[in-house]
Amino acid sequence: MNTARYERWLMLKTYRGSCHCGAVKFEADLDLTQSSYRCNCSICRRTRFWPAIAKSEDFRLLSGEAELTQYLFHTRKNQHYFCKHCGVRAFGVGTETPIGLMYGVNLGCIEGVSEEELSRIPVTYVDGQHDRFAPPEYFSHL
Amino acid sequence: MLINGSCHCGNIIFSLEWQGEPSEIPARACGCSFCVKHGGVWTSNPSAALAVNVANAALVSKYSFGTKTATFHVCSRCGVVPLVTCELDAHLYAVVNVNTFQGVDPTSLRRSAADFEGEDVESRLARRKRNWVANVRIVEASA
Repeated sequence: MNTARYERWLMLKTYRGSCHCGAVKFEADLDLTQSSYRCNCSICRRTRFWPAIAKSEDFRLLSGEAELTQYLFHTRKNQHYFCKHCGVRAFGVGTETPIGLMYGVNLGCIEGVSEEELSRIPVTYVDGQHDRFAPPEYFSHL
Repeated sequence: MLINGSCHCGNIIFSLEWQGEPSEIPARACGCSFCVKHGGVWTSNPSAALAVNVANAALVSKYSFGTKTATFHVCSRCGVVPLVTCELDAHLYAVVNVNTFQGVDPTSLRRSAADFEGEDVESRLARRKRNWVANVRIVEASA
């Protein structure tokens, strides 16, 4: 393990999470001092998706693979998954990102994090509606 | 004021007719376990009228939990939840997810946190009768 990777690894903590009905369970190694994201694209705004980023090796689906519905649209690059019973999106997968295959882990679904800790997680606002990584003109509602 | 909206794939579409031309629309970000995971932010107005059209009823999952007095209409194709209904004394009441609105200026939504934890069932149902949209029509087709 090189130094940069070791330093990142030191910051990671393992969290468990689930959808609402409990059919989908996962474990993810996350660094909650790093930025989470809020986006205004057509799917994120409808679902208020609030992801923290996990590398593919840091995400483990523990149960519910058969309970997931995949939803693709537009460029079909990002794989959106939700529980077919309760509809909750516990995570999504970005297939073509600067860090390769990436998991967006829904912070609303993780356990063992206090409201106070959640409120301190940094947020980056992105203008997905216009395919831009920069903040959109309006973002306080995202 | 007529507000149109839909889930992401368009299986569930709705029109919400709000009396008059409000400068602000209340939007309640509920703190319950379902809404936190779903990002549910809801609005209602007892004098509004809601018309819902479902293109394929087989592609809607109706989800309930807790007191099981409310039904969440989850699109099975895209997973989005545009509305919640509650049937009381054979009358249907509803709230609508503001995140599924189309063409509504986000600055016109007056957001607030809502927490109904600990409310007993009787008060909960009475509150829905008072505040939820009372004129609800749902047309469900099968593909």
